[in-house]
Amino acid sequence: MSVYHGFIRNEKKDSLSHNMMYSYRHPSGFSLAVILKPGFNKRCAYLGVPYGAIDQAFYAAGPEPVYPASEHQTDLIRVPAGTAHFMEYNVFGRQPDSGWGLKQEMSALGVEANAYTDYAATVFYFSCVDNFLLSLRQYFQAICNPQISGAKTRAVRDIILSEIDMYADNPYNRLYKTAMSNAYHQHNMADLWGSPETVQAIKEADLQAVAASFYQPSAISLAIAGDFTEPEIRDILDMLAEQINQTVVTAGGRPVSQPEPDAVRVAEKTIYDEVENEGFAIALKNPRVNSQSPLDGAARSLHEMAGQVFFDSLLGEASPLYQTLYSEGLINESFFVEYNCDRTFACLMLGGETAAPERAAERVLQGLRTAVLQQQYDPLLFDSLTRALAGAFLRSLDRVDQCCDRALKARMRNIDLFDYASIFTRINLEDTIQAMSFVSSPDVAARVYLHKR
Amino acid sequence: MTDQILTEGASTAVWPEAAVYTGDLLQEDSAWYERYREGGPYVAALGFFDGVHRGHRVLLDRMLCVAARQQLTPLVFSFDVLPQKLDFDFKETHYHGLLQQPASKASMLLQLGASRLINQRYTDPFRRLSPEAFLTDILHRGLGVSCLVIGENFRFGYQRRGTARLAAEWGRQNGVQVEIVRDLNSEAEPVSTRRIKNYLQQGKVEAASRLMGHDFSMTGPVIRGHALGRTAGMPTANVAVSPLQFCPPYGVYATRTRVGSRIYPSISNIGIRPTVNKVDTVPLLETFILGYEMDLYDQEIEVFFVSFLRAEETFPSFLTMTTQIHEDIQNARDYQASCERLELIDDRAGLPYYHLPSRRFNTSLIKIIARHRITPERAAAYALLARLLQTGQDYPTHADLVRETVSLYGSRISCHISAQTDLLTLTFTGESVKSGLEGSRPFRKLQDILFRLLTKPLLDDDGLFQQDFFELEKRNLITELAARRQDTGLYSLERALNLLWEGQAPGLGSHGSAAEISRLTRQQVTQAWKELLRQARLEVYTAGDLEQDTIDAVVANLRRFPSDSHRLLPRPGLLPGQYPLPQAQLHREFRELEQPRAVLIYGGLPAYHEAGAAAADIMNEILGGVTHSLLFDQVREKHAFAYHISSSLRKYPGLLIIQAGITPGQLAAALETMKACVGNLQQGAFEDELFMSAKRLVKNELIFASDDLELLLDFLINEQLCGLRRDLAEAIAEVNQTGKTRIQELARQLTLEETFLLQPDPAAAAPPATDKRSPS
Repeated sequence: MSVYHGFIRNEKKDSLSHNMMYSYRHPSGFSLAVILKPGFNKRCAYLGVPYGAIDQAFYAAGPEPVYPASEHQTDLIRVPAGTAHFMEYNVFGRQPDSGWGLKQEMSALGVEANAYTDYAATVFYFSCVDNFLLSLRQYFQAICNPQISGAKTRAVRDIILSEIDMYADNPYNRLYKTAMSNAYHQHNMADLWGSPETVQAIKEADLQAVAASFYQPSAISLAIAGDFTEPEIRDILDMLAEQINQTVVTAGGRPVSQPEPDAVRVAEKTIYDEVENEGFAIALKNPRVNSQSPLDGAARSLHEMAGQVFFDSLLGEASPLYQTLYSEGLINESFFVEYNCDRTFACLMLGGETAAPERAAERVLQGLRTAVLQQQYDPLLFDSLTRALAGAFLRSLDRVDQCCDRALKARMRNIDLFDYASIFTRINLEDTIQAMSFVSSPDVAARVYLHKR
Repeated sequence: MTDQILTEGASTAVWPEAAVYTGDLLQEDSAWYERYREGGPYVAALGFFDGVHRGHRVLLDRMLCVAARQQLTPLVFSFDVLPQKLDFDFKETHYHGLLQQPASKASMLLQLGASRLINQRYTDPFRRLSPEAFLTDILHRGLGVSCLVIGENFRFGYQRRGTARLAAEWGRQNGVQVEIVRDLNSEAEPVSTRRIKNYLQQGKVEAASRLMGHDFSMTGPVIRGHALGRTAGMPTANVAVSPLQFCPPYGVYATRTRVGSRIYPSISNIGIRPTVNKVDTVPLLETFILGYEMDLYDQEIEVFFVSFLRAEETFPSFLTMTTQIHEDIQNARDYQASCERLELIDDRAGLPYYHLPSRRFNTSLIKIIARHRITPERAAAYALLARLLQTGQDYPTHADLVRETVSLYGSRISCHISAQTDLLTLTFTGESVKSGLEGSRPFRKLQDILFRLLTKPLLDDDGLFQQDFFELEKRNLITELAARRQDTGLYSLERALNLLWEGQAPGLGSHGSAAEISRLTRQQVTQAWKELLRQARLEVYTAGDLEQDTIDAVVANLRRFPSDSHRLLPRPGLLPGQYPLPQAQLHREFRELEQPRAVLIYGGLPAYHEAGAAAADIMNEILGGVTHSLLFDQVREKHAFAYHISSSLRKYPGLLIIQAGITPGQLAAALETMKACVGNLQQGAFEDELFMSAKRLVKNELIFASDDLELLLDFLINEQLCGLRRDLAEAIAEVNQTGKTRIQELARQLTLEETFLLQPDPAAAAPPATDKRSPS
């Protein structure tokens, strides 16, 4: 361990790939992961803001530089759905006077910059060959000091409404979102981007509140990857320390959500659209992961990966059930199995195209429940899929941007990228069966069928 | 093959029908010429073609292109010696010998597509022919050449009075087409044999290879030496250095050695071996093949020079020399394992196998690519084969295959189908980590699996694809096509391209049509599979840090495919072919949707096989690539006419395509603005900052490709197909050298060929907002 400008450094070497990483923590709460990629020309930076689409209610940032804030210290703020996404666009939005936005400024430096909004985080990232330090400074400044104005807000709103129109023409997007939305009472799982009505309702004050609570160093995590030398890393730390010291750092905001009932909100629904292929989607809510018993750190990663492996072994391409349903023509290669997990929710999503949505959904659910109730597990396949996780992890380290993205996600969970190697070894069938037994309950499934209008 | 190619020239001994003629055309009689003309009419490329470097290849590509379009026979007209050698001011010290031996040159020219080669004896009477006499009497009236292809700086005829301009004027007067090809530049200078020799003289072997597009090589039979190498535990294959050929500086080189169809990593010493030889002054090429022992005496080998390691030196003792040699061998191994360039491993007729060695990545890749001419039936059959070949006799269900690949640390096998104008391409990709935690070798097994899938599919007892499985995958493919139609962006693009070339090969699309797929029978698809194995162009590529035995395993697996020298052979300029574009068209379609889609297709880009690709990339970024591009800035940011707006290139058909998802009610305004942006580009009305930014981003994309094993491999594969054969460093240099003026020149050639609009159906009632936009 060493200290530089207040940054406490830890070093780790990955047992799988032998890559090296440094992790830094600053007293403000800001954290940084540096993944060394010797011999690579590309450099990436991923900045994570712990505020996402489902965070429509939060306790504002507290005055004390302590993280996290206590719920009794600050005001509870509610914002319309789509605010996180709006805020993402606002960071990039054009300045009314210069006509340029952050993306354009970064592009002029030869840097590709972009962002995405997830359920519980917003991630800003860029890739470059040159001008890394300058670009990082610019990006960091823009994210920690987002400029919010009436003119900018109006421009951003128009663009988002146009984006919503684009997604509206994708019936499968709607199918997926409807299933997620129907599973949850409190979480806004419906629209990461909001609806036209909620987007119209977003005010400057909402954005200011989000910015003050989350777009600041105490809340932000950063991961960088590339062929960095020690002097370059010191320059980066110098710059970050300078930026942090110029910012009024307070304790970050804290998203809150109401207790979520175990049962889904809507168990079954049919939607109609102009669609070539009909389909179905099922959201199975894991009621044990909620705001009262959130998942953090390594436990969350373990839960998420073990869940994915488990459901892949029962329903994935290598499973007997998949093969049976495929050969009967009830599903095709569009069939997906995703176990999504965040701090306060975990949800298994299934679905795909089919000529018989109701029958396919019923067969999938029945097959899944039967497998769980009758313990029709395949330990060999489970082990293979676990090993496949390690393989996928190793391959992802070959791509600078992928390993940077993974490193950021790890950082935001208070673990390090190279902790995954030990997490893989802890995945076992017995514990996973316990954790995933929720699927056998009939109350946790929200089915949606997509039919031609 | 050498013996078959070369025939000596007295007129009575040579039938004009032979591919290669070496003789004196001035000695041939009219009967001979008449017989020769029967093989024509000809398109002839003129030059000496020493080294057949990339500059020569541009000429050859143009010749082949004209040959295909006008149904002419491609002919290369060359000389038996470098004509300049007989010039009064010729300096032997500047010459240094031929870059390539005549037999090797002839073989390469024929392999590249020439049907005939003439090596005219450069006699004194021939040298004294005037340019006009040469053109008229020998080429046009004599041989029957109706089209001439020459370089812009080519000189010919007595006292080198003949120039490209003279030839063009002569062509106009005599009704002969004359194609003048610009010199190919690399790093702002023409690619030339002299430059290549200079690089080799300086030990810059990689730079020389870059200009040649292949490695400098020496060929010859293996002769017996003094077995000193064997004494040191490093038996060498010795080849005499031809006095006619250019000899690189004495020293040690990382090399690759061809024995038969296989090419092995090796290390070579060229020189006089001063430590052990005090008598001979004739240089010898000694080659040690790394990792293999074989008896090569009397066999012909070809040694390709890859990298200069060190100069020849005299060692104080045999022991010291041996120690250094061992170090050299390690250096050669390290270089070969990490050089990140495409190396030909095996070259059995019609079945090339290339490897991209790299030590930077955990991943190893294999790609098996099949290419054939597109037809409606073949596109449908190949699209179905892409599915059917993901099971096989060893893996009767897809689940069986996935179980196997998952157990290999999550290895993956996928298949992708694409089209480059009239060339259909099926790419099978396998991806794996190179080694497992317990020392297993997942990739070694994965490549076996991939070959077995292709060669042992799931067939019934009647030898046809298994019935139930066939019908199921047919249905699934039709469903997949329906899903493609559902995606309004993808549908608009495919439909626009289909309408642009309606009825022609490029408009067919890579997946075939639902109607064609429905009609497919098991017999047809089984036949398509057999045709794929036997007649399609098959290429195999691996990439990563592979052990020698894994490479050997791939070569062994390649033997499963029938060897056939009549396989389809794509040739730049010829296949993928180039197709004329129709006059500007506008098409509209209507369906229920929220966001109208627009696709504008511009033609006028340079041919894909011509140099200058960088300029098109930069132009595209300026127009619609970078985030302050003309389109993004005007259409989206300033006016909010569209959420999604971008431009892209389709290099094989030479198209620039603008795609947009338009804000409802803004279609007309959006179209006008899009066209105005193209107009601005054509007038050079864009800021220097935007130009520089676009250049930087194009350059960065190339650099990023070098950091991604699959992108790097795809880049190099594409460079082979389009014939440019650049490496990334050269592609980046080209970007750096491209100026703003060039962008404007290029933009002025753009013409709008197709406008396709997908609009909301005015007859349909608008759905309630809550039903469409929000989840219910």
